[in-house]
Amino acid sequence: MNRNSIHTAIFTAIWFALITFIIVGVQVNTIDGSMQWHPGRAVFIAIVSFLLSLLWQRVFTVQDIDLTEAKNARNTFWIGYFTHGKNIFRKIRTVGIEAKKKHKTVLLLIISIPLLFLPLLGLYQTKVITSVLVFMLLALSLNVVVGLGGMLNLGVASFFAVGAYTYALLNYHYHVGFLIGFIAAALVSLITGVLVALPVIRLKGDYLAIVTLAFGEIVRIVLENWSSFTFGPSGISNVVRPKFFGMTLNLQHVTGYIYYIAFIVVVLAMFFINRLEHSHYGRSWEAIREDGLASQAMGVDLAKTKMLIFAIGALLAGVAGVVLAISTGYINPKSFTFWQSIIPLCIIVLGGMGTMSGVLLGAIILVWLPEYLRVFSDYRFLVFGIILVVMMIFRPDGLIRKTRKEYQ
Amino acid sequence: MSTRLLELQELSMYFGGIHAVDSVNLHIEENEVIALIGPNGAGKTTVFNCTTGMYTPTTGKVMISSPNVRKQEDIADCRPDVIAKKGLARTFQNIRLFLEMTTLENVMVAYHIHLKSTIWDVLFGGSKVRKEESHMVKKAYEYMGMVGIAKYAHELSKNLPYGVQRKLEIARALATKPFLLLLDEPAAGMNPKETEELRNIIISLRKQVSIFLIEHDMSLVMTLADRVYVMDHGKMIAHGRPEEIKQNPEVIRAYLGGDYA
Amino acid sequence: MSFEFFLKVFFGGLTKGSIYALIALGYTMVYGIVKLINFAHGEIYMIGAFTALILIEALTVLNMPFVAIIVCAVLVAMVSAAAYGYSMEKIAYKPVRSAPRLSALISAIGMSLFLQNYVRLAQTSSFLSFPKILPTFQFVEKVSYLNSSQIIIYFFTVIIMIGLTWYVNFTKTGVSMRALSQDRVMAMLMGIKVDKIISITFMIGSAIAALGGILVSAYIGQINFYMGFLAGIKAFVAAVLGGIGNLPGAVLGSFILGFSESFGTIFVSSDYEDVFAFILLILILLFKPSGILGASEKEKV
Repeated sequence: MNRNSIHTAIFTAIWFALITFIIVGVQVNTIDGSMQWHPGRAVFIAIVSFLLSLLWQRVFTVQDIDLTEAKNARNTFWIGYFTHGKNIFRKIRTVGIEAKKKHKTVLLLIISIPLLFLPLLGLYQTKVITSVLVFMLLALSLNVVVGLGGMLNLGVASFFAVGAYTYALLNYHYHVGFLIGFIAAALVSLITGVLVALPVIRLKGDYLAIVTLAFGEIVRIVLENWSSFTFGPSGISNVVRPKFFGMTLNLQHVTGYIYYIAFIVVVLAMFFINRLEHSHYGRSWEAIREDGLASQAMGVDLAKTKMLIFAIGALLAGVAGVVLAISTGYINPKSFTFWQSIIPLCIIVLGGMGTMSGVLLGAIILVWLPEYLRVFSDYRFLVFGIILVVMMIFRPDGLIRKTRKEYQ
Repeated sequence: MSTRLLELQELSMYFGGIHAVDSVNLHIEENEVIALIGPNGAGKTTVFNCTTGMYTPTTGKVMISSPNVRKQEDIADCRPDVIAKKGLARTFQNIRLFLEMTTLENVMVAYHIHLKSTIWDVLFGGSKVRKEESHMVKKAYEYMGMVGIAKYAHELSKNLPYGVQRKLEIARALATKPFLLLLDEPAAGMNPKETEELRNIIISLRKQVSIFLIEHDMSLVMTLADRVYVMDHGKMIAHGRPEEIKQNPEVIRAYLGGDYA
Repeated sequence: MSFEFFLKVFFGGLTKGSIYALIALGYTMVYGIVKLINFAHGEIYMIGAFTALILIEALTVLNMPFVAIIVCAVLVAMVSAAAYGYSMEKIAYKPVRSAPRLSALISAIGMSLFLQNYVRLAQTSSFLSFPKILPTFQFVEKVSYLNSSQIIIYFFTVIIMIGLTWYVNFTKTGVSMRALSQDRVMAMLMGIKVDKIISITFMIGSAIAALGGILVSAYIGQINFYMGFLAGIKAFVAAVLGGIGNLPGAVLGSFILGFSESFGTIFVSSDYEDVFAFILLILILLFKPSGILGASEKEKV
């Protein structure tokens, strides 16, 4: 830390305090024409900016040095990633643990024991974890489309909605049972995915993102306004819970039952995605990500492959929708907005695109944790925004990096 | 007639007002090594692109006839992946490898068109997929061996030396089991030793696949090619055996300018 | 449909188009230079409106003359927006300039989320009413299909369009912007200071968007932290419609969008107004992705 960096930090602090002053320092109420001054907030911002500026400068000047060491490391399970630095930051360096098979199994066991017996912990906990599982499915959907397919889907909530509404409507109008409803919803989501993919896959990255965003918004608007079909803003309530071998369970038992269903679905999804990823499909997908034209020249059918990827993503999101419908018993358009498309994106960005454990980690941090930090719920999306920016700058691969598989 | 593996008939490619390729006629017979030469900007790579489906020619036909299926067809409108499956493979002038993948993986991707496993096999099956994969790995090693890069199998292709990368491009194209291999300036940027290795590779390859190459290295062209086509400003200006071409006044004029004819 | 009604719808569309144009211009300038969809651009539009609102309320207390308040508020809001734009670029976009496009896009989304919630937390999530700061012209008020606020909006839009065109074609910085958007490496080799030009582009785009935000808030009479999101998406659609990276294209696309929405809602319920933008987007990307005025790009093999 030298004088120059302190000067820059002070300047930065003053700059941010100034430009944020109007918005942050003065709170207006137009109803009664009153104003509230918050000079304290301005000071807070100045201090935070000062500190962050120092940190920023440190990270950016020294970051290059240890990059080669970090890049050459294989099979490592990263927990943190800072660079060598002098003074305050001397202690922090590249931390990595060799994720040998046994480490992973131990970790898996530690996590799975409480998960297997979760319903014993109570209704509330079960419900929370079930919603985490739903978001994990959505994140898995994005993992496939974004991580493996290289296509940024900003409208995953639309397929989420298709699955949920298909199930709920079938249930409402025709009293369709769980199994059939599930399969039907999955099929409809799959088909919708194919239909949307048809125009979308030809587009370049940015445009593809915006179009998926647009589609997501269209679906939301239709859900809210086409009341005769979708029941509008009031949504569909009293979605019948799945029966346990023909028996209707009480609320407590059925919540546990649904939890196990969700759990199995997630595990199966992970299993199948893993299989695909490590097959020639996954290899083609990676080739497409690397160079679409060259892979075409080598015989890869670009359009068909991208459509498959997109369809799989839609299927996963649709299944997530079914799980949502049965777990909450009630769906309405508010569950399928842009936010529901963003949260899974944050999960894979934070946790690590393309890795299963990354999805788990991201979901735990971004969906499970906020349940217990309810007091901070107002700041939730603010923090999400910060996480997205920070991750992209410092660690675009996510917290848990993908490892390469070796062939013999 | 139908032993011609490739026949370009009046092939033309217009971009806006520019005739990148103007009524080009060209043919390749079985077991030939054909070279396409000409000054930079003559339209050679555009001819390749029209042949392999990257561009759809404005007019003209791209007739191919595979040695197995002796039936001629016009592939001018076909997509690149369809053409690859029919038996034409190419390398690129600017290397287009899958950089973040290993040498082995690069070659395997090209082999995928021969795989028979369906998605259901992958999701639910076991041994069938495993057997195919190990067979594919074995074949990939063969292809890498043909160009002498097997020892780099597990290296990321972006880390390979330039000469090895060029060879990998060839190995990858070979994995599609083409009957015609199109090489776009395979010797570009190579030193004499690497060029010599390339020459030997091409000589050994010509037994199993016919070769159509674009090259600037005249020693390679003159010693390897059975026939040479010369292009300039989009047009075909000469065609014949290497010795004839060397003395053709049009060719000399194209390369050196008007005064030397 | 009576002629008067038609004119009403027409001017409505023209107004929408103007506002979209003010935002779209910034979008397209930034995209042209850094090939980035600045998701957070809509948020700047919103911040401009909020800044102006707060200043107006604050300065009113101080009993300054009305005109001075407005001028002061607008100018400060625009400058402040420029500052936000500058900071935004330095924090979220500069570090990912060489990263794959996906990263920059996600970073932009993050910035957008951050700014939205920043304003929401600092102020309020409810709708605030925006004071009537735009002058009224008697001769216009007599007409039923047009009102004074709209005239003001057109006036400013035209000024900005002319000003920006002049700037981009006749000033050194402006020409540098165009050079950068065409070939960055070459521009660098010609001695153009890339960072500085990029910053200036962001600042100008932000200031214009802020003006748009103020105008539209005064016109509608209401602001809310969420207003930037939808407006931003639509302005982006407009820019793509006309050809992203292309200034006249952004304007053309904006008016097409504005009129489509205005005339479209005659036939369909106004609830579905937003859908027009999205449908237009999908259509143009399917048939002419480079936009109406954009040049088709062929990838060199």
